[in-house]
Amino acid sequence: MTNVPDTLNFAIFGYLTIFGLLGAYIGWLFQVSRRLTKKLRNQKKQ
Amino acid sequence: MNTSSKNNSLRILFPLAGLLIALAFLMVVFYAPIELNMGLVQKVFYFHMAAAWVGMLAFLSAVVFAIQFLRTRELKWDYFEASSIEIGLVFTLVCNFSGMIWAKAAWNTWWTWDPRLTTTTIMAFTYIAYLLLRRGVDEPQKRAQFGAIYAIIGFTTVPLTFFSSRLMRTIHPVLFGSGVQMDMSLTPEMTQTMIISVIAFTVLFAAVLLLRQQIMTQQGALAEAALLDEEA
Repeated sequence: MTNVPDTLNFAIFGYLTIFGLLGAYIGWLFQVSRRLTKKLRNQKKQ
Repeated sequence: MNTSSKNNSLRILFPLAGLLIALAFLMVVFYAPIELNMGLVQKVFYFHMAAAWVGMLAFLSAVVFAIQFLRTRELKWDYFEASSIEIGLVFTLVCNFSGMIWAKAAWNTWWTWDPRLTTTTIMAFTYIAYLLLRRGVDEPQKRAQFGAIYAIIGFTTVPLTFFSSRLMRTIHPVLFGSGVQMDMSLTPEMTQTMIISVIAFTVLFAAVLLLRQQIMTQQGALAEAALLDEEA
């Protein structure tokens, strides 16, 4: 039987990096979008 | 596409991307077999590869948008182009960082100046420079024209990156196209998981592109309004 190397920690770290970076970017975009929509709505009211 | 139909597309695309990513993740965990030489870290490959694909697709889309801008001079194409490049850069960084983690486990080093890694870094810096230089031009039409030409010329780094591991001696695995260095062959289950991951990230790219373009349009409208206020 082959000994499979234990690389679970690297796999977890890899997935945290991938989804952490993407999540942070997309989260930031939604935040900016919400702020701008509010700003434009206020501007229209004025 | 007007704002309400764009919002509807976003309402469909984001949940769809979420579902596809969840499906791909479940396939990675429960369906794709464990690679015997590398162990579980090989499973990072599915989204690493998908991120690399989206990065290159985004830079290619930017060229199409750039040409559209040069033809029509409509700013919406400039917004699409800049959004595409920003998103492509984020996915390229995701690809690079996940690759570094894989490399540490597989090659016992975080980084090596291998042709594939080097050309990917050159590509990333080319597009970082695009985003920085864009900020230096205030007039929207001038900025868009500069951006369009840069996006077209900058794209030369993409085929350079793609073919680097096929044309040069490299330790980076080559999966398609060369048939020479297949040091990581895929089982059918692995291929199916990879395809679902690529589709999932492509749908996510479409969703994020629409959102980013919408933000740029809003920022453009606000900047224009501020300018009109100043003039009045």
